[in-house]
Amino acid sequence: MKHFIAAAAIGLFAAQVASAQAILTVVQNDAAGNQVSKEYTAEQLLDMDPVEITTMNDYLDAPHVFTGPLLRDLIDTELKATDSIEVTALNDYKTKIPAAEALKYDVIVAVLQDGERMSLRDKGPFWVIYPMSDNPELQDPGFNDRLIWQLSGVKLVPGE
Amino acid sequence: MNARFKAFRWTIVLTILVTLCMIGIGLVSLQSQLDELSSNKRSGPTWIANQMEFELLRFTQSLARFTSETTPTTAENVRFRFDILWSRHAVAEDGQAGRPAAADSEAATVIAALGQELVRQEPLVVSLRDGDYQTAATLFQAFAQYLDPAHEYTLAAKDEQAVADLTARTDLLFMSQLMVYLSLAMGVASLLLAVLFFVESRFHEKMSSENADLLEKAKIAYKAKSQFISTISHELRTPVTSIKGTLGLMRGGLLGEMGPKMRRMVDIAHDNSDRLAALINDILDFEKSEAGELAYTFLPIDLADVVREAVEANRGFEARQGVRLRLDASEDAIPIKGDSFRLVQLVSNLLSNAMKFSHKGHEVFVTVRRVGHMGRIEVQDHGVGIPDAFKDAVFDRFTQADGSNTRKVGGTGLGMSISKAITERHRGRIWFQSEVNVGTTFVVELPLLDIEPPALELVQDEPLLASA
Repeated sequence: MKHFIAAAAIGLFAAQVASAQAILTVVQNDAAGNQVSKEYTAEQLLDMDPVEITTMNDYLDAPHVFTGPLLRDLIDTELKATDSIEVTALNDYKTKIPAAEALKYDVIVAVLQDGERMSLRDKGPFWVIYPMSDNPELQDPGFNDRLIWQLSGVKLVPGE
Repeated sequence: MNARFKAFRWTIVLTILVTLCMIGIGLVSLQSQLDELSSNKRSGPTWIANQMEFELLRFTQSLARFTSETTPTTAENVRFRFDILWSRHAVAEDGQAGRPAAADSEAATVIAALGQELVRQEPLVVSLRDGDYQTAATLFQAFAQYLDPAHEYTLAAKDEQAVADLTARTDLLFMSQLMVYLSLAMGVASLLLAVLFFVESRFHEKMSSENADLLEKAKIAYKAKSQFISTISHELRTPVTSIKGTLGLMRGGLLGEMGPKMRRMVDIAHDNSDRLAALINDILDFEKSEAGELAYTFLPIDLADVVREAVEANRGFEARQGVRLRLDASEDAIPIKGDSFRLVQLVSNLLSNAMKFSHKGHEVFVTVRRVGHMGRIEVQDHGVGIPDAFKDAVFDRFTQADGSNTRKVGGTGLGMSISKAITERHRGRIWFQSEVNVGTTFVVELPLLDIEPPALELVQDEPLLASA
């Protein structure tokens, strides 16, 4: 009984922690060229016309269904193939995703895994997912670097 | 030398091909090894271990800040750091392909120990309230003890990575050295092949120039021989004509009466001087036709007349050979354009051959008629026939079926080759059918005059006519 209560409490607090930190910051330039920063909660992201992708990757044991908005939809201005998108994780890890990939493939910012929110202790709250199972050319180990988990920020870096 | 040379060359070509293949395979594997080295960087053991140590450091730091008064932080932030550490520990526990980095090293025990500590302290972290310094201090003490082991573990993972990298680099070095040696070998082989080709081409050049020299010499020698024969024959003709004339006068009784014995001797001498003169004429004709110097005068003539003339000219031999000539000539004229002297010579050749090789008492049957666009002469004998083995050589010069026949029946063996030359100059063709001891039929076909212009086209179109 004691254990049960403890477990329930953990679950409750864990959810609180997750929701408190589950904010995605999107930085981009508006039409006038000024830098604008927007913050999205998980609920707001799920309101943005989410896409479902069933895929496997090197960090999963079996295919799972991921739900979330398309990465390219987070950018308000027209995305160019020469642009790149800088993604930042909660542990401050940063990498760049070529915009061409986000345009060519349905790359999503997954909010749900199999319909459930992802915990911070496991790749949550947001995880960049490539549709690897449907596109064999994406199954190269080089693309593993793009699957940023614990995603916290997206920033548009305009190309030349 | 040549066969060995060839084998050597092929060996080199094969070596180059094999080397090329090996270089190709080597480059591909080199590339994949390079890729592996670079992919080690992010998801490799060092990275995983380092992340765990780093997050442990940040967590303990956040606990320290929680209790400090200078830069305080919230309990929520501590829980956030705890969760991140939790996730990094999970990644380190999973490792690569289910095996944590440096799993066999003593330092790796920190993973299990830290895992247990995380589970053990989780309720405290979850229930931490802002300002609860006591709990934070307890937590700090609990986790600070893993800082050094976590660092040791990172170093162990680095060592493992270093060993793996060293192996990979050693392999890479070996591969690149191998590539260099293979390329060198290929370079040398290519050079060798180039030298071989050069030497061989020089060799062939020399051979062909020597062959050309030999051919030139042979041609000169042949021409000299022909000229020699021609000159000798020409020189012989004058005295032979004189001897023949003298013998003719003697036989005609113009030089006084001879006794019967002497008369027979003079007859023999006269006949033989005839044969000698004919022989010399044949040789001269042949040499001329070989040199392309035989003069032809092409005029419209009747082929039937030509054949009649030739038959009449050979009547004289009927009695001597015991063979009769029978002519079946077309009543209508068979107009052709030709040199009647040469054509009579041609038909005479055929007739004299037919008579020479006929069995005594038989007849030689001669016909001349139109066949389509051609005038055709056929000379059929009932004689010894031409053996199969000899058929291909009939039109070659200086040949007769049997060497001994040359003596028995006479002739130079030039007749048929002259006949063929004459036929071909008239754009005609000559051939024969023969069966041993049954007989031979020689056929000559010459294009008719009235249809010569279109026939000229035909001659060019039909290889049979041109090459017969």
